[in-house]
Amino acid sequence: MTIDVSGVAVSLPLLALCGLVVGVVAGMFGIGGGFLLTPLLPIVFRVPSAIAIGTSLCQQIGIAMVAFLKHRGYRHGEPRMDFIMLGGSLLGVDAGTRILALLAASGARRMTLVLDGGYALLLLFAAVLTLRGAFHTQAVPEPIPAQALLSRIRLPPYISLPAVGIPRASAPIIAWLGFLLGALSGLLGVGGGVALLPVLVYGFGFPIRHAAGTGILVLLATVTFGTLEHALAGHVDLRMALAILAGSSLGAQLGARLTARLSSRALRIWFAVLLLITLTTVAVHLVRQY
Amino acid sequence: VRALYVIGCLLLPPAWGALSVVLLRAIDKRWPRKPPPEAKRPPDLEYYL
Repeated sequence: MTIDVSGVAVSLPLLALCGLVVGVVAGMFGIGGGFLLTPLLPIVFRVPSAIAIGTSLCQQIGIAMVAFLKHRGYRHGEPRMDFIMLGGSLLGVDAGTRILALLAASGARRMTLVLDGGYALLLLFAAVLTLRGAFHTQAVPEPIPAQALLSRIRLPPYISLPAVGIPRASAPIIAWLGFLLGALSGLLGVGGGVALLPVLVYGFGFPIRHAAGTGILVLLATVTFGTLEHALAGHVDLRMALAILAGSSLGAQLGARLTARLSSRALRIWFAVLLLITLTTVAVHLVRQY
Repeated sequence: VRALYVIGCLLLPPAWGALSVVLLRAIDKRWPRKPPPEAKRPPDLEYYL
Protein backbone atom coordinates (compact mmCIF):
# COMPACT_ATOMS: atom_id res chain seq x y z
CA MET A 1 0.00 0.00 0.00
CA THR A 2 2.19 2.78 -1.26
CA ILE A 3 1.35 6.12 -2.82
CA ASP A 4 3.41 8.32 -5.09
CA VAL A 5 4.29 11.71 -3.56
CA SER A 6 6.34 13.90 -5.93
CA GLY A 7 8.02 10.82 -7.38
CA VAL A 8 8.68 9.21 -3.98
CA ALA A 9 6.93 5.94 -2.95
CA VAL A 10 5.44 6.40 0.52
CA SER A 11 4.02 3.48 2.50
CA LEU A 12 0.61 4.38 3.98
CA PRO A 13 0.77 1.86 6.89
CA LEU A 14 4.22 3.19 7.84
CA LEU A 15 2.86 6.73 7.68
CA ALA A 16 -0.06 5.76 9.93
CA LEU A 17 2.44 4.14 12.33
CA CYS A 18 4.46 7.38 12.39
CA GLY A 19 1.18 9.24 13.11
CA LEU A 20 0.43 6.72 15.89
CA VAL A 21 3.78 7.37 17.63
CA VAL A 22 3.39 11.15 17.35
CA GLY A 23 -0.25 10.81 18.47
CA VAL A 24 0.80 8.87 21.61
CA VAL A 25 3.22 11.68 22.50
CA ALA A 26 0.60 14.33 21.67
CA GLY A 27 -2.00 12.57 23.84
CA MET A 28 0.45 12.14 26.74
CA PHE A 29 1.58 15.76 26.81
CA GLY A 30 -1.37 17.64 25.34
CA ILE A 31 0.62 19.00 22.42
CA GLY A 32 0.00 19.01 18.67
CA GLY A 33 3.18 17.11 17.84
CA GLY A 34 3.91 19.09 14.67
CA PHE A 35 7.46 19.85 15.79
CA LEU A 36 8.12 16.08 15.97
CA LEU A 37 6.26 15.04 12.83
CA THR A 38 7.28 17.73 10.33
CA PRO A 39 11.09 17.27 10.56
CA LEU A 40 10.73 13.45 10.52
CA LEU A 41 8.64 13.25 7.32
CA PRO A 42 11.43 14.36 4.91
CA ILE A 43 14.04 12.32 6.79
CA VAL A 44 12.11 9.03 7.18
CA PHE A 45 9.94 9.10 4.03
CA ARG A 46 12.14 11.34 1.84
CA VAL A 47 9.20 13.52 0.78
CA PRO A 48 10.07 17.13 -0.19
CA SER A 49 10.21 19.48 2.82
CA ALA A 50 7.51 21.80 1.42
CA ILE A 51 5.06 18.87 1.12
CA ALA A 52 5.95 17.65 4.61
CA ILE A 53 5.20 21.14 5.99
CA GLY A 54 1.88 21.58 4.14
CA THR A 55 0.68 18.05 4.94
CA SER A 56 1.70 18.27 8.58
CA LEU A 57 -0.22 21.55 8.96
CA CYS A 58 -3.25 19.92 7.32
CA GLN A 59 -3.39 16.99 9.74
CA GLN A 60 -2.90 19.38 12.70
CA ILE A 61 -6.29 20.98 11.93
CA GLY A 62 -8.00 17.89 13.38
CA ILE A 63 -5.87 17.92 16.55
CA ALA A 64 -6.26 21.71 17.01
CA MET A 65 -10.05 21.47 16.58
CA VAL A 66 -10.35 18.80 19.30
CA ALA A 67 -8.07 20.80 21.64
CA PHE A 68 -10.05 24.00 20.98
CA LEU A 69 -13.40 22.35 21.79
CA LYS A 70 -11.94 20.73 24.93
CA HIS A 71 -10.46 23.97 26.32
CA ARG A 72 -13.57 25.94 25.34
CA GLY A 73 -15.58 23.52 27.47
CA TYR A 74 -13.25 24.14 30.45
CA ARG A 75 -13.38 27.92 29.84
CA HIS A 76 -9.62 28.18 30.20
CA GLY A 77 -7.64 30.91 28.48
CA GLU A 78 -7.97 34.60 27.68
CA PRO A 79 -10.08 35.23 24.54
CA ARG A 80 -8.89 38.87 24.30
CA MET A 81 -5.32 37.66 23.86
CA ASP A 82 -6.46 35.23 21.15
CA PHE A 83 -8.32 38.03 19.34
CA ILE A 84 -5.26 40.32 19.27
CA MET A 85 -2.83 37.56 18.30
CA LEU A 86 -5.12 36.31 15.53
CA GLY A 87 -4.58 39.27 13.17
CA GLY A 88 -0.81 39.10 13.63
CA SER A 89 -0.69 35.32 13.16
CA LEU A 90 -2.55 35.37 9.82
CA LEU A 91 -0.04 37.92 8.49
CA GLY A 92 2.77 35.79 9.92
CA VAL A 93 1.57 32.61 8.16
CA ASP A 94 1.63 34.46 4.84
CA ALA A 95 5.14 35.80 5.58
CA GLY A 96 6.38 32.32 6.62
CA THR A 97 4.98 30.70 3.47
CA ARG A 98 6.65 33.36 1.29
CA ILE A 99 9.98 32.87 3.09
CA LEU A 100 9.69 29.11 2.44
CA ALA A 101 9.05 29.76 -1.28
CA LEU A 102 12.11 32.06 -1.39
CA LEU A 103 14.22 29.40 0.33
CA ALA A 104 13.00 26.72 -2.07
CA ALA A 105 14.01 28.95 -4.99
CA SER A 106 17.44 29.61 -3.46
CA GLY A 107 18.43 25.93 -3.43
CA ALA A 108 17.96 22.72 -1.45
CA ARG A 109 21.07 23.17 0.71
CA ARG A 110 20.05 26.57 2.05
CA MET A 111 16.50 25.34 2.62
CA THR A 112 17.73 22.31 4.60
CA LEU A 113 20.03 24.52 6.67
CA VAL A 114 17.25 26.95 7.65
CA LEU A 115 14.52 24.32 8.20
CA ASP A 116 16.64 21.74 10.04
CA GLY A 117 18.31 24.55 12.02
CA GLY A 118 14.86 25.86 13.01
CA TYR A 119 13.62 22.39 14.03
CA ALA A 120 16.81 21.71 15.98
CA LEU A 121 16.45 24.98 17.92
CA LEU A 122 12.78 24.28 18.69
CA LEU A 123 13.51 20.70 19.80
CA LEU A 124 16.44 21.82 21.96
CA PHE A 125 14.31 24.56 23.55
CA ALA A 126 11.53 22.04 24.34
CA ALA A 127 14.01 19.43 25.65
CA VAL A 128 15.73 21.92 27.99
CA LEU A 129 12.40 23.13 29.39
CA THR A 130 11.17 19.56 29.88
CA LEU A 131 14.34 18.36 31.60
CA ARG A 132 14.39 21.48 33.79
CA GLY A 133 10.88 20.59 34.96
CA ALA A 134 11.74 16.90 35.46
CA PHE A 135 14.75 17.52 37.70
CA HIS A 136 13.29 20.37 39.73
CA THR A 137 12.91 18.86 43.17
CA GLN A 138 10.87 21.78 44.51
CA ALA A 139 7.62 23.07 43.04
CA VAL A 140 8.25 26.00 40.71
CA PRO A 141 6.30 29.06 41.94
CA GLU A 142 3.72 30.51 39.55
CA PRO A 143 5.12 33.59 37.76
CA ILE A 144 3.81 36.99 38.89
CA PRO A 145 2.24 38.83 35.91
CA ALA A 146 3.40 42.31 36.98
CA GLN A 147 7.03 41.09 37.14
CA ALA A 148 6.97 39.11 33.88
CA LEU A 149 9.27 40.44 31.16
CA LEU A 150 6.74 41.07 28.35
CA SER A 151 4.07 42.46 30.72
CA ARG A 152 6.50 45.23 31.72
CA ILE A 153 7.11 46.54 28.17
CA ARG A 154 5.62 50.01 27.81
CA LEU A 155 4.31 50.27 24.27
CA PRO A 156 0.76 51.70 24.04
CA PRO A 157 -2.11 51.06 23.52
CA TYR A 158 -2.63 48.70 26.44
CA ILE A 159 -5.28 46.11 27.13
CA SER A 160 -6.30 44.46 30.38
CA LEU A 161 -6.46 40.67 30.46
CA PRO A 162 -8.77 40.08 33.42
CA ALA A 163 -9.21 36.34 32.85
CA VAL A 164 -5.55 35.79 33.73
CA GLY A 165 -5.12 38.62 36.24
CA ILE A 166 -2.97 40.88 34.05
CA PRO A 167 -4.08 44.49 34.49
CA ARG A 168 -2.11 45.93 31.57
CA ALA A 169 -0.37 44.41 28.55
CA SER A 170 0.87 46.02 25.36
CA ALA A 171 -1.42 45.21 22.39
CA PRO A 172 1.33 45.72 19.73
CA ILE A 173 3.61 43.24 21.55
CA ILE A 174 0.78 40.66 21.65
CA ALA A 175 0.09 41.20 17.92
CA TRP A 176 3.80 40.80 17.11
CA LEU A 177 3.85 37.60 19.16
CA GLY A 178 0.98 36.34 17.00
CA PHE A 179 2.95 37.33 13.90
CA LEU A 180 6.03 35.36 15.01
CA LEU A 181 3.89 32.34 15.84
CA GLY A 182 2.23 32.48 12.42
CA ALA A 183 5.59 32.87 10.65
CA LEU A 184 6.87 29.79 12.53
CA SER A 185 3.85 27.82 11.31
CA GLY A 186 4.08 28.97 7.70
CA LEU A 187 7.82 28.35 7.53
CA LEU A 188 8.34 25.21 9.62
CA GLY A 189 4.87 23.61 9.57
CA VAL A 190 4.56 23.45 13.36
CA GLY A 191 1.50 24.57 15.30
CA GLY A 192 3.69 26.72 17.52
CA GLY A 193 2.21 25.66 20.86
CA VAL A 194 5.61 24.41 22.02
CA ALA A 195 6.99 27.98 21.67
CA LEU A 196 3.85 29.85 22.78
CA LEU A 197 3.33 28.11 26.13
CA PRO A 198 6.65 29.20 27.73
CA VAL A 199 6.25 32.72 26.30
CA LEU A 200 2.81 33.07 27.92
CA VAL A 201 3.92 31.56 31.25
CA TYR A 202 7.35 33.17 31.64
CA GLY A 203 6.92 36.19 29.33
CA PHE A 204 3.47 37.36 30.42
CA GLY A 205 3.06 35.52 33.75
CA PHE A 206 -0.02 33.49 32.74
CA PRO A 207 -1.17 30.78 35.17
CA ILE A 208 -0.26 27.46 33.48
CA ARG A 209 -3.81 26.15 32.97
CA HIS A 210 -4.85 29.44 31.32
CA ALA A 211 -1.71 29.45 29.16
CA ALA A 212 -2.68 26.00 27.81
CA GLY A 213 -6.16 27.32 26.90
CA THR A 214 -4.93 30.60 25.43
CA GLY A 215 -3.68 30.43 21.90
CA ILE A 216 -5.65 27.30 20.93
CA LEU A 217 -7.99 29.42 18.78
CA VAL A 218 -4.94 31.13 17.25
CA LEU A 219 -3.29 27.75 16.62
CA LEU A 220 -6.48 26.46 14.96
CA ALA A 221 -6.71 29.56 12.75
CA THR A 222 -2.97 29.45 12.01
CA VAL A 223 -2.86 25.80 10.93
CA THR A 224 -6.07 26.23 8.87
CA PHE A 225 -4.77 29.35 7.09
CA GLY A 226 -1.33 27.76 6.70
CA THR A 227 -2.91 24.66 5.13
CA LEU A 228 -4.86 26.88 2.70
CA GLU A 229 -1.73 28.81 1.70
CA HIS A 230 0.31 25.63 1.25
CA ALA A 231 -2.57 23.91 -0.58
CA LEU A 232 -2.69 26.80 -3.07
CA ALA A 233 1.04 26.27 -3.64
CA GLY A 234 0.40 22.52 -4.17
CA HIS A 235 2.17 21.47 -0.96
CA VAL A 236 -0.62 19.47 0.71
CA ASP A 237 -1.07 15.74 0.11
CA LEU A 238 -4.49 14.79 1.49
CA ARG A 239 -3.80 11.02 1.32
CA MET A 240 -0.73 11.45 3.55
CA ALA A 241 -2.60 13.79 5.91
CA LEU A 242 -5.47 11.30 6.31
CA ALA A 243 -3.11 8.36 6.95
CA ILE A 244 -1.23 10.35 9.62
CA LEU A 245 -4.49 11.57 11.16
CA ALA A 246 -5.82 7.98 11.34
CA GLY A 247 -2.71 6.93 13.29
CA SER A 248 -2.50 10.04 15.46
CA SER A 249 -6.20 9.88 16.48
CA LEU A 250 -5.69 6.35 17.82
CA GLY A 251 -2.31 7.28 19.31
CA ALA A 252 -3.75 10.28 21.15
CA GLN A 253 -6.27 7.99 22.92
CA LEU A 254 -3.48 5.55 23.89
CA GLY A 255 -1.30 8.44 25.05
CA ALA A 256 -4.03 9.84 27.27
CA ARG A 257 -4.44 6.40 28.93
CA LEU A 258 -0.68 5.98 29.39
CA THR A 259 -0.52 9.35 31.17
CA ALA A 260 -2.52 7.93 34.07
CA ARG A 261 -0.05 5.02 34.50
CA LEU A 262 3.20 7.00 34.58
CA SER A 263 4.41 9.55 37.10
CA SER A 264 4.76 13.16 36.02
CA ARG A 265 8.56 12.93 36.31
CA ALA A 266 8.77 9.72 34.25
CA LEU A 267 6.54 11.32 31.60
CA ARG A 268 8.81 14.33 31.34
CA ILE A 269 11.95 12.23 31.13
CA TRP A 270 10.49 10.00 28.37
CA PHE A 271 9.35 13.09 26.51
CA ALA A 272 12.81 14.65 26.78
CA VAL A 273 14.41 11.39 25.54
CA LEU A 274 12.11 11.42 22.51
CA LEU A 275 12.90 15.08 21.84
CA LEU A 276 16.64 14.39 22.05
CA ILE A 277 16.36 11.38 19.68
CA THR A 278 14.47 13.57 17.15
CA LEU A 279 17.01 16.36 17.66
CA THR A 280 19.88 13.94 16.97
CA THR A 281 18.13 12.64 13.81
CA VAL A 282 17.64 16.20 12.52
CA ALA A 283 21.26 17.15 13.39
CA VAL A 284 22.65 14.04 11.59
CA HIS A 285 20.50 14.86 8.54
CA LEU A 286 21.77 18.45 8.58
CA VAL A 287 25.42 17.41 8.87
CA ARG A 288 25.04 14.82 6.04
CA GLN A 289 23.76 17.55 3.73
CA TYR A 290 26.99 19.49 4.21
CA VAL B 1 7.82 45.44 -3.60
CA ARG B 2 9.71 43.13 -1.23
CA ALA B 3 10.82 46.10 0.91
CA LEU B 4 7.21 47.31 1.10
CA TYR B 5 6.11 43.82 2.19
CA VAL B 6 8.74 43.76 4.97
CA ILE B 7 7.67 47.23 6.17
CA GLY B 8 4.04 46.04 6.08
CA CYS B 9 4.96 42.98 8.17
CA LEU B 10 6.60 45.23 10.76
CA LEU B 11 3.82 47.83 10.92
CA LEU B 12 0.60 45.90 10.33
CA PRO B 13 0.69 43.69 13.48
CA PRO B 14 0.90 46.69 15.89
CA ALA B 15 -1.72 48.52 13.81
CA TRP B 16 -4.00 45.49 14.23
CA GLY B 17 -3.14 45.49 17.96
CA ALA B 18 -4.26 49.12 18.28
CA LEU B 19 -7.43 48.51 16.26
CA SER B 20 -8.33 45.44 18.30
CA VAL B 21 -8.01 47.45 21.53
CA VAL B 22 -10.53 49.96 20.13
CA LEU B 23 -12.82 47.11 19.04
CA LEU B 24 -12.60 45.31 22.39
CA ARG B 25 -13.34 48.54 24.29
CA ALA B 26 -16.35 49.17 22.02
CA ILE B 27 -17.57 45.59 22.67
CA ASP B 28 -17.16 46.09 26.44
CA LYS B 29 -19.14 49.32 26.24
CA ARG B 30 -21.93 47.88 24.08
CA TRP B 31 -22.23 44.60 26.01
CA PRO B 32 -20.99 45.26 29.57
CA ARG B 33 -19.70 42.19 31.35
CA LYS B 34 -21.82 40.89 34.20
CA PRO B 35 -20.05 39.93 37.42
CA PRO B 36 -20.73 36.28 38.33
CA PRO B 37 -22.33 35.07 41.55
CA GLU B 38 -19.17 34.93 43.71
CA ALA B 39 -19.94 31.72 45.54
CA LYS B 40 -20.34 29.64 42.39
CA ARG B 41 -16.99 30.29 40.74
CA PRO B 42 -13.36 30.20 41.84
CA PRO B 43 -12.00 33.74 42.28
CA ASP B 44 -9.50 33.57 39.43
CA LEU B 45 -11.99 32.62 36.73
CA GLU B 46 -13.00 35.59 34.65
CA TYR B 47 -16.64 36.56 34.74
CA TYR B 48 -17.16 37.46 31.12
CA LEU B 49 -16.20 34.05 29.80
